[in-house]
Amino acid sequence: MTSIVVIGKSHTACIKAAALRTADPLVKVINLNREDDVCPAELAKAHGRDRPLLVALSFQGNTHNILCLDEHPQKMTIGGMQVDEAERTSIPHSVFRDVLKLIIEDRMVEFLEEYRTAFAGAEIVMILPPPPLAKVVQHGGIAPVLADALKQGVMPMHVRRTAYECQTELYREIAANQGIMCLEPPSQALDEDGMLGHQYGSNDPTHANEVYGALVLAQLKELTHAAVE
Amino acid sequence: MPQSSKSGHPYVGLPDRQFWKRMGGDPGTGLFDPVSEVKFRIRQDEKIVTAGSCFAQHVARYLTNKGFNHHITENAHPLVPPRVATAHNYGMFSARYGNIYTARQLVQLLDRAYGRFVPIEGAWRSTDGKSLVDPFRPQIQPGGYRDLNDLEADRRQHLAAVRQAVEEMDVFVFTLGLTEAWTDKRDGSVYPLAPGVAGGAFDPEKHAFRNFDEVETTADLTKAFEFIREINPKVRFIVTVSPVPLNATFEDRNCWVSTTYSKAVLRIAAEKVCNSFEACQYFPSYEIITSPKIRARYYAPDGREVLEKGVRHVMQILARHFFEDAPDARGQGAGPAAVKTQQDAAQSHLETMEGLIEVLCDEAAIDNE
Repeated sequence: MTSIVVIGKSHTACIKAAALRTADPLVKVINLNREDDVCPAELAKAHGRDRPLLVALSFQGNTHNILCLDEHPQKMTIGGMQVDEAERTSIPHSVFRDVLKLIIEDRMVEFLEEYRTAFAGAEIVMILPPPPLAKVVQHGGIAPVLADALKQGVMPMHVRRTAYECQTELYREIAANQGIMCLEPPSQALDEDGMLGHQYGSNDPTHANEVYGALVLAQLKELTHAAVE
Repeated sequence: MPQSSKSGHPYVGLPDRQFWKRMGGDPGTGLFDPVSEVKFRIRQDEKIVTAGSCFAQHVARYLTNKGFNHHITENAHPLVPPRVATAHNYGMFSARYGNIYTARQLVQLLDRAYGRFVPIEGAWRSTDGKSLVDPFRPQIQPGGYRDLNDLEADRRQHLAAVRQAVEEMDVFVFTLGLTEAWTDKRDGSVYPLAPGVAGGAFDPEKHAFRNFDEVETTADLTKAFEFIREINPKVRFIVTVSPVPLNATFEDRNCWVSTTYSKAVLRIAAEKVCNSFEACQYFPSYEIITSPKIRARYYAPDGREVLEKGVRHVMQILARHFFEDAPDARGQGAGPAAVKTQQDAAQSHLETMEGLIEVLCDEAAIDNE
């Protein structure tokens, strides 16, 4: 019997690692990046009558990083925030939000509807992505595949955090419109600025590690217990 | 003036265009072309800056779409996809000033851009109360500004873009639209929309209605053009009057009666200013659209909006008389092409980043397993 199914892309890796360590039979994590041609209906069918209590979805969580991890040749900030001495083009908050909306909204709504239909009866939860790391160490420790892309430098923390906040704000709105609950990042993993605590970062600046995954898993289990009670 | 001593009256021998029945443009006989000689021509590479009322948007869009060098100085950051940039009014005009309806508004925009005027009102609360709007372009930012920082940073960029446009342009096309306006009694600020319509709150103690007459409008337009010429002596001007009737009048009379008054004032001001400046040409877009010869065919069923075929007619006449080598519809002006290159580079970069982050995710998955 499976009570929790986590489905998504890159941000499921940390949860999967945590689930594998505990070998909890009640939890199944499906990283769609590692599966071929998996559609929601097939995933649901694979569970047969053993329908999960909770389906936790994690998609497109890295859009803020794709847009705002590395410095653009035309340096930018969001909403006029003065973050350093550099001359930065300010992208108005509403404009940045609409950029995210264009990239995320339609696909996200489609995903949510597909999974809600496929897993009818289960509680659907949208997992908010982890916030960015406060400090990205560019030399040593960073995944080599990304090091080259960060040659221009990393955007200042405040810009990256604003981009992340814009994205999660949009996620909350989409989820509310769909009648779906959002799972906030575990508070103990955040530092005083609301960024991902250093000890929860993985070997790249865009994903959390297994320790973080375990915290999310605990949140999910708590939700499941609450649902059963 | 050509005169015939034999005929005994001064109209003999005058060009056909000076006679109603011979001026051409009757329905079915081809395009109505009321333009006589023009004072200058425009090369394809010359930078054209546009501003003015709603009709100026049509002019700007046509120039952009046809590949003329519509000089855009306030572009969205390259990370912003064109669809979003357009929705947020980038590229509508050379800078994001929105509609400039009155000549006084143009004067004040220039004064604000060059630090000669700082209005008391810096921000208005949006009508839904959720955000802030710029009182001097209250509809430019869909969704409004989140806070004062957001608004002020964007305004700084905007005014810098206005300065750049003024300093770099070769030709300035200005479309006069209205004479009615709402002003701030405290400092004379002129708003494009009445407070309370798209933000702010109307306060009869602070706000007053003005209907500028032909003397004031002529003086304002003269002041604006003189200032522009001081900064950029080579600039040439094209002045037009919008054929779009007033949407509403605050005068206690019929809206159409107010429209004819406004258009008359604007037409007189345009004529006077064009007669007093070198290389300043009136272009009769108003006359093309409103001519009885056209039988109102260029208006939408509401009798106000100008249809695309009307805009096309106006722009064909403009191109015929002003452009030395009109580019074809597929051509690209220097401005838009440069922007497109930046956007393409940004898009390609985002795709690379997305790919890399996906690779990272796979690497992480492998590590974790």
